Amino acid sequence: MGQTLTEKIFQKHALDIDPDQKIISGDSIWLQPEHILTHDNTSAIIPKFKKFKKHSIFNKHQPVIALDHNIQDTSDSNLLKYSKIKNFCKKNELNFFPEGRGIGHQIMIEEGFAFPGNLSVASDSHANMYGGIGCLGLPVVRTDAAGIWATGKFWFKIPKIINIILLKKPIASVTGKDIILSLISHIDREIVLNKCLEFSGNGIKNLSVDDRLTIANMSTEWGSLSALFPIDKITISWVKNRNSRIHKDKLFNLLNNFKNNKTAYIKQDNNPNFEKTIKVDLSTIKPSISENNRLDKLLNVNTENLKPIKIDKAFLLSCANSRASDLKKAANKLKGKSIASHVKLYVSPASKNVENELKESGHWKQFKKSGAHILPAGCGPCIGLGAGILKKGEVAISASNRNFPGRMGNINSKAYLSSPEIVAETAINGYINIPKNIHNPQIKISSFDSSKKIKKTINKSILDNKSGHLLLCSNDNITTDDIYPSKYTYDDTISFKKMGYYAMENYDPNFSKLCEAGDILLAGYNFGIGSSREQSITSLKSKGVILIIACSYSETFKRNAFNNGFGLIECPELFFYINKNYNKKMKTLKTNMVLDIDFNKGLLKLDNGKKFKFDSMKKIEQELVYYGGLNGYLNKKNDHA
Amino acid sequence: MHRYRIAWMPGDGVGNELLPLGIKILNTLKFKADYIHCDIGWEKWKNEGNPLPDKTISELKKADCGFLGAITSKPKEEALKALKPEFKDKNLEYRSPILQLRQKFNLHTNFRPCTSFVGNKNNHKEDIDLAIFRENSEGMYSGVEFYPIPSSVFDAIENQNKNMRKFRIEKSDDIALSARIITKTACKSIIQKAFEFALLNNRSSVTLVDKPNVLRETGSLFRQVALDISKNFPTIKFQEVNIDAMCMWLIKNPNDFQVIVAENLFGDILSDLSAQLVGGLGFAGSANLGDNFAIFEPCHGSAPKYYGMNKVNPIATFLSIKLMLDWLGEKFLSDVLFNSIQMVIKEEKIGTYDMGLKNSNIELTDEICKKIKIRLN
Repeated sequence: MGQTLTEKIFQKHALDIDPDQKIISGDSIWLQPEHILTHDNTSAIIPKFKKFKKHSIFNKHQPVIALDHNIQDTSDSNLLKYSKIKNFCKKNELNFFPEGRGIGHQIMIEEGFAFPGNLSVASDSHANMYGGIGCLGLPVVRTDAAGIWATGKFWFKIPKIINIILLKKPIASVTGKDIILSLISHIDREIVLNKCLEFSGNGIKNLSVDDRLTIANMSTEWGSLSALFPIDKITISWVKNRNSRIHKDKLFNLLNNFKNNKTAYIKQDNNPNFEKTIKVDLSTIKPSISENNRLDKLLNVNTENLKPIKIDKAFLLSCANSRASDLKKAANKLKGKSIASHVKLYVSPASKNVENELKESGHWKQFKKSGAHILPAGCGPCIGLGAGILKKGEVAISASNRNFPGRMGNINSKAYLSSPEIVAETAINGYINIPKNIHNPQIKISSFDSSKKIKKTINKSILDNKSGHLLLCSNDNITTDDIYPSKYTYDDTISFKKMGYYAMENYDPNFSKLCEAGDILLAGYNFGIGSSREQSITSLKSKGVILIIACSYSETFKRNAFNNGFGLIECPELFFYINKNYNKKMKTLKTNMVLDIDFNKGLLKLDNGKKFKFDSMKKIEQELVYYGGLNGYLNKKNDHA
Repeated sequence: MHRYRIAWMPGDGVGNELLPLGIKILNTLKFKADYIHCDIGWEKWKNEGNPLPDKTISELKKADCGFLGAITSKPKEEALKALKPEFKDKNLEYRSPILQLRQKFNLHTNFRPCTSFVGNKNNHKEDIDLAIFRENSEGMYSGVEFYPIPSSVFDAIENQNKNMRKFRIEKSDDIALSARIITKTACKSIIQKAFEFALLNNRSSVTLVDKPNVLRETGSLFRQVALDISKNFPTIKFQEVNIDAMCMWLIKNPNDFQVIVAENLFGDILSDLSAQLVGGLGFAGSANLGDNFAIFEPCHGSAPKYYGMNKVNPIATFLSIKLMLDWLGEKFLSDVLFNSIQMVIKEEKIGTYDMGLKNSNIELTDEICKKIKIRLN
């Protein structure tokens, strides 16, 4: 079976794999990204980085730091924070971009840090955007960012991959923004949640790089972890035009691979392993506006929306839609017209380079002429920071990427999202023109035939067999708040020992009495959903739970568990069996059954002789458990190095 | 997965409402099958003079198994009255289509599990988990019945058994006779099934329920076969209880019993009694099992007065689907379905009127589907 382009790029950046191993969806691997972007959160990563035994930067070319979030804040505390970051970067000779230079993700693209065929990550959810130029972009958490600084790598379980086939040519007025808004509102979030998306199909040649960047950028709002476009002629000519900023060898290799039609790192193989395929007919997509404060629905004329919607503010900004082509289109709409008197239009270019390009082309003047408020290049109102944020009751249309309640300011404001053209038109009209027809793009979703699934191999285990009493918490969807109440989460005075006392308090106040050290916890589906608080693991560890067996886990919980050296097993069959035979009212039930776990054979054995198979943890997961967590593992490996 | 062929018989009344919900569940489970619609029941009797059309039988023969919704049955006289005028003088006789199916396809075992679900307010007691194996083809329901009793039959019996003498009555229409017939083959097959079930499902005992102290001949044969077979299952406790005592014990200590095996009439009584222990017929699914064929059905009737109101509890239908999945060997799907039902009942959020809640059976089905989706994701 062939590989997806996503898998190929993961393979290229994978460390410690067998030479003939083909990386596929479901594998857990160590990855060495080409670059890692951090922004204002760099200040929170520095102390995490300093916790490593050897806290020297692994490769000073790898990190990229760009201040973009709170750049309008000139308070002493923020200036102090920024100067700390600057000093850290200077001392370690890191790639640094000061406030006003632009949004980090845009800089990654402009400067070639996000490069076609490579993997770059960011400690920010919109890293997906790099996929627009064929660079696999992944978001990572702060702990991973610190780990990458120190060791160059992070571990990752490759999610399921979804093929999105774009067909035909969109009509002239449709942009990348309309396409992604239509996809998000018409395809269930559950389908793409935490998956990798990969685009293909003959419709892609009709999309500019900027359209692709917008689509990839907002795949984050859709729920996916990455969104990769193939590398084609359009990508190559886009990269060539920026060659002054890009390392010569890197460019040469890319052009050479492309010219010789080498498929590696350029496009997917035939017949790769996709979980689902989504076919989209681009010609059926219409200019779209999201509903206020939500993306799962588009604005249409209906009983609630009969009159045009009056707006107070309009925004042309963010990493989604504030590149030169976006702002040029908006400026052209404004030509010869003025902004409605009750509307304030805010413009913030994605970067200083974008601003310069617009100045050269003459479009910049247009914004000034129309009376737009110019903000420095950065995130600004898109993350609810600085001038222009929405006040209570205000209504706005924005070309940015996120509009959940309160995102752009007050929780009682309304934000509609659309393309820069529609934002400019609306700013002129003063009212949102509600699309009259119900938008029904042609979309077909098909599942991969499960019979073709690749059989898993049982890895030899480094873990010793374990045994303990089964403690049943039979509910589905036990949240991290059930496991460790939020009222204790931000109380730093609670010791590790005390944490165990609070374990599962919100789920069942009796848990603490019933659970004994050495117990194995058995739970239902989606264990550990909700916030990513690490105490959900440490509290159970402190209580003496040796291992959890659940039907499934939230991916974040899983990562937290392994990073803290805590073992997890999935076995719905055991859960079904125990539930059938120990059907009791109690939320927590002591079953008095002893379970033996054989990691080598992937076998669970109850003391009544009943046996159940399970898929052993991946090699990396086992190693993390073995070394007591990520810090233990990385310190150990560094000692050997 | 293999694509199955299921003879799908909604039948009368709420069967037409519940079986589409069953398909919704099966589709959510991604169970692959063709559901061949087959006519059966009261409407067919009224309009065509035959509650079990030949086409249904031929479709059943082509299918992997059958699934039945519900059937309206009425006594002889009422049945005749309901017939369309053109069939009235054709000397037709209403025979229960499900009894016909049991005999035609030799479905000798009727299997009815009764589980008290946590969270079901109508449980008589918690932790009830009964599996009832009722002999389905003979016993008191053999159909060997006489009214009036032909004199040759009377004389023959009287010659062989003096107890018959006291029934010699002047008027022949003052007496009727139904025979309880027990065969070694049928006993063996039902008892073997009960023990095998106990062994495979970690049950520690099998209880034979009959009345051998009074029904001396048929009762002794039945218990002798049971005693012989029990020797092959040394880890499983075998016990005998009389039917009258069993009715009392089941109400007093239902948790003392696990697998129950009984003759047709007694099994029929015990199944309904047990269903009520775990919340009523809304929670009772059943399987009619033969050696190579099976038909599954919820135990409740067609409830014509509730039809179209989406009130009737669909769980009995879903539990019958679970039994069908077990029989077809789709163990994982069966577990997923059962666990999903368990979870929804336990949450006590969504349920039909008989569960003390206010939802429609569509809402309850959707909630179970939600759980299934999580489990299959």
